[in-house]
Amino acid sequence: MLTYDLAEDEEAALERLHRDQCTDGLPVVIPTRQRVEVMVLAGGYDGDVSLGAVGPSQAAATIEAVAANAVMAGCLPDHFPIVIAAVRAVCDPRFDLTEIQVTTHPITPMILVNGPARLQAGMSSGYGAFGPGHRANASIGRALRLVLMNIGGGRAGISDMSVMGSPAKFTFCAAENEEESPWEPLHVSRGFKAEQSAVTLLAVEGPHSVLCAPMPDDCTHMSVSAVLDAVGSALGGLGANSTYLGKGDVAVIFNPQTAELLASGGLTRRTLQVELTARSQHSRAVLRARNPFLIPAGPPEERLPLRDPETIVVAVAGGRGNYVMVCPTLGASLHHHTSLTREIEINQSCALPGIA
Amino acid sequence: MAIEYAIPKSLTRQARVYDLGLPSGAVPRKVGMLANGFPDAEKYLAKQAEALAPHWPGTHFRISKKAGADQLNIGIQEPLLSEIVEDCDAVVIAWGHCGSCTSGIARDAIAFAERGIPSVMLVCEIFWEYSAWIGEALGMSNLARVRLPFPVAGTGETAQRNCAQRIAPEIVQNLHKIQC
Repeated sequence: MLTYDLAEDEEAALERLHRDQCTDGLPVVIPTRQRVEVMVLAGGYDGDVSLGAVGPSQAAATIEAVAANAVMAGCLPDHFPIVIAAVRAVCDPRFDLTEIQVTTHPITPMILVNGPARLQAGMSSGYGAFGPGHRANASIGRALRLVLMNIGGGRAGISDMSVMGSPAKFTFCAAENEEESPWEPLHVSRGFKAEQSAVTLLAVEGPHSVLCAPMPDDCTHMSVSAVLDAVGSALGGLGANSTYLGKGDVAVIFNPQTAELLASGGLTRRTLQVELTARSQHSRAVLRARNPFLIPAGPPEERLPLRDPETIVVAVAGGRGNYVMVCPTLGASLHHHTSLTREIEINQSCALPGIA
Repeated sequence: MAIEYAIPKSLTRQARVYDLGLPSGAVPRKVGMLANGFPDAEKYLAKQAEALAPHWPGTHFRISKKAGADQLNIGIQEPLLSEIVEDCDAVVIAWGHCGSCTSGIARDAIAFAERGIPSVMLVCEIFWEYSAWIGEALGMSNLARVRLPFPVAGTGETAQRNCAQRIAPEIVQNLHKIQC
């Protein structure tokens, strides 16, 4: 049951929310009873329905509590079904949310959205898709972060022990650029129909940019092998935990132009995953010299890590150019914080004026 | 005019309270020393066992390694859990040296408590507040803890031996639930 408090006005309420550590440090939309009730209706579920337990506090993600956080994040009612799907995904025990929240590593959930819900919510998948400047992307990602803080209890230095934190922890959400992708949409490759809408949640580091040609924005000198080598080397960066652990799903977001080049070279999403796996490896000798704790003794020339290619999540977003985005990860937890795709249930809301 | 606004939180589940201890004055037959795979944890626990020996004459110590360094945040699994429960009267768990491994040793302590075995977690000071919070979040408050400096891992034989000597009385007090 959500509890309510009284304040003199919205300014006073905002100061109390800041004081009570209910914000991400930025101003929020005040979750008045009316705004929360409208958001609950947009979700199509009763307010007391729980989407699961949010680690590490294990508090219940009730629809009304999630709605309050979505209001605070600036979500519109059309955004709320996507927030619900994202919260359901992170509450799945296979996502290892408690470990993601408490680690000293800056890992954080990334939301990728596919299907008609992208358009209904007004999401961006083009230039600067990961922000800033796109209301739906920013608000949906921020809503999940506020849920992780306010319901999950993730607080810097108390329960979120990330040494540096990460700007990606404020909001980290985009739609896939299905219209310009040469491959099937990400959610289709993960078992959904194209007409369905879905979120894919990954727990990863913030974006690392990869230069895929000799000169920035010189796309005439890009080649398939150069792109694969550049992206593979970024995925297998010697400073990344996942390079040594070889577990945990990582993200590679190609821009449409780079994706077209790779597809024209005959690469499918699956063959791309295999190629990138091989090109992100190092010899055991190289890895063991840097980290004997995580790399046991063995044949020095053996190529590591032995990553399952399926753990490289490939999607298309952004504008045209030669920059590609790579997100390594942590890789250590019971289920290796596996990525999960969940359907977005749209058109479930009540037919009230102003509600989708 | 006053406005009504939501407190954007949910109620957390009620945590059980840890309340285990060795019988007052009893000398444990065997004490488990559980290393979580963080660098130096096993070596340190060997020193800790040496430092505890004078406090418990005749006690045997069993040093076990829970998992590799890639599984720090995972609680103790079978069959090791049952082996230690059947073999030991109490357990010392090392260590809370990072965010992930602190949640992992809290899971260990809860697992032992659920089997009726008292334990004490060794937690570095920068994870002290968090260690209490995560235990409660995972379902059990008031878990027994002893504070370590940060870092301990990698500080060398002498520093680790001195640390083990210094905290040995606190470990005994915690396992016997003697008020400090």
